[in-house]
Amino acid sequence: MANKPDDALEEVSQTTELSPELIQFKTLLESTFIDVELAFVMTDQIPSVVVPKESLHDLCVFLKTNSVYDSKMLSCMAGVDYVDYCQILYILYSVENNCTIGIKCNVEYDCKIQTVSDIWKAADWYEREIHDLYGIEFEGHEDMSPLLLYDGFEGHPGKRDFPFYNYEEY
Amino acid sequence: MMQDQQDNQTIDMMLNMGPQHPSTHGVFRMELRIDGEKIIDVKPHIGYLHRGSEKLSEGEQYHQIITLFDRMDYLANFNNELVYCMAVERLLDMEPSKRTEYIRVILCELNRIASHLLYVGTIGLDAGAMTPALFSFIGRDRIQTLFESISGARMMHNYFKIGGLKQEVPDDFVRMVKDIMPVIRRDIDQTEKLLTFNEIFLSRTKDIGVITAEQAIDYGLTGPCLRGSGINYDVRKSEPYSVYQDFDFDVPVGLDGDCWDRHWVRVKEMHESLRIIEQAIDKLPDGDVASPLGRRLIRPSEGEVYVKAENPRGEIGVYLVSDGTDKPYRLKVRPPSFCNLSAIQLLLQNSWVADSVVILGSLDIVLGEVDR
Repeated sequence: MANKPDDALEEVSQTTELSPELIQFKTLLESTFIDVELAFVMTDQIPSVVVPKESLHDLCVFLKTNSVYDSKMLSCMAGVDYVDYCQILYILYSVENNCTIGIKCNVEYDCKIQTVSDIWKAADWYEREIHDLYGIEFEGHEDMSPLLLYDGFEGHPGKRDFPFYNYEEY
Repeated sequence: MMQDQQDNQTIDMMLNMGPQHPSTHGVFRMELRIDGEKIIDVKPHIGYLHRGSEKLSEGEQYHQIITLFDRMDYLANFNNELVYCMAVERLLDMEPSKRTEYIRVILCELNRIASHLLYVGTIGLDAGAMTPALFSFIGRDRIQTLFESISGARMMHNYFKIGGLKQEVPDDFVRMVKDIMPVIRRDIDQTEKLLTFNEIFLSRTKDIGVITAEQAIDYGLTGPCLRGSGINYDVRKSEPYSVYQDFDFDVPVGLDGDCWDRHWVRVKEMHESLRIIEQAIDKLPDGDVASPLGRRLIRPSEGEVYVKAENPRGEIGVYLVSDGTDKPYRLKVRPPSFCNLSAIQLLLQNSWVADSVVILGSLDIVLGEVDR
C-alpha cells in the first residue's frame, strides 16, 4: 500500500490512452511549467497532477488565474497517510466553467509545505485540520493552533499508527 | 487633563459565546472582542463534538460506516447516507435499481424539506419570533413520522444500503407521501406569511451579514449560502447524480448575499423539493430494492473515488481510498457546514452583538458535521 501512488503513476504513463480531459490538462501545464517534474493521473473522474512541493504554490496561483480552469473555489483538501509520506489532495472547482481538477502533493513527515491559505481563504481551516491530524507544517500560515483537537493533545490521530482503539481516560 | 483622557477611553471587552449557548446551534464557541455593542474581532472555536468519524471508519467494514454518516449531519440523515452509498457503489462499479434511486430521491428531498423547516423555525427564534417554530414543526413531525414508518427510526435511519435499500417501503408509501404534501405546503406558506415578508424580520435580516459572490467562492461556501450571494451552483444541476436529471426543477438564487437572501433561497428550495417529490411519486417504477450484495463482506478493488452531492447545507464530498481490504484505507468527508462556518469571522466583523445570532443562524450549521 505504501508504494501505491507510484505504481499508479507508472501504469498511467505506460498506457497510451489518456482521457481527453487529462491530455488537455497535461498539455497546458507542461507548456507552462517546463522545468518542473509533473505526473498526471486520474483521481476517479478528476484529472489530477502530482506536483513536487516546491512548485505547489506557483501551480495553485496559475490554476486560479488561468482562463481555462479558473479554479476560484478550493472544494476539498484531504491528507492521506501512506506511511512513508503524506499525500495532500486539493480538489479545485470552477463554478463558471463547471470543471473539477485535482492536485496531489507528496510530503515527507519531517518536511514543511507552503500554505495556500493566501490563495484561497477556504484553505485556512483545512490546513489547520490536516496539521491536527497528520502534523504537517504549513509554512506561512498565520495561525496553526489546534482546530478540531483540544490544546495540549499529543500525537496525530489521523496517522495509521495512532493507537485509536486503546482508550484512555481524560 | 491626561487623567480625563484616560478615563474617557474605552477598552475592548472579551465576550465568550458558547459552547453551551442555545443560539450557537450546538457546541460552538466564539470569542468575541467587542467595543460596546460593536464586534471588532471574532475567534471561532470548534472541535467540541469531534468524534473522529473519519478515523473510526478506517476500522469499520463498509456496511457499518453508514451509521457514522447518519451522525455527521444529523438533520439530513438520508442525504448523508446517499452520498456514502454512491461513493462505495462507484468504487464497486455497480448501479442500484431504478426503483431504489427514485425512493432515495423522494426520501432525500423530504429530508431536505424537514431540515429547512427546522431552519425556518430556528431563524425565527434567533430573530425573536416564537410562532414560526411551532408551525414549522408540524410539517417536520409529519415527515419524521413517515420516515419512522419506512425505516423504523425518526432520525439516524440507517436505511440506505450499498446497492439498495434495507427493506421495501410500506404498501401505502405513495399514499402517505401524497397525504403529507398539502400539510407541508400549508406549513411553508404559513411560515412564509408569518416570517419571510414580516417587517420586523426584514429589518433584522436585510443587509445584515452580507457576503459578496467573490468572497463566498473564496471561502468555499456552498448550498443556500452561496446561492444567496447570487451564484447559481447546485450539484443536482451542474453534475446530476442519482436520477436528478429526470426531474424538472429550478434553482432559486438570491441577489445581495445577506441573511434574508439566504433565508429566501431555503424557503424557495422547499417548493422546488416538493416539485421533485411530486414528479418522482408519479413516475415511481416497479422493481426490486434489495441490494444484490446482501450482507456479504465487501472488498472493493484498489482505487480512489471522489463523489459529491447536494445536501440541505451545501455540497458534501466524499473522498474514499480503498486498498482492497474490507475496510477503507482513508475516508475524507468535505462537510458543507465546515466551509460555511469558516466565513463567520468575515461576516461578524463590524456587526452588532445582537446580529451575531441571526448571522450564525442564517448559515444553518450543524456542529456534528463541522467537527465530525
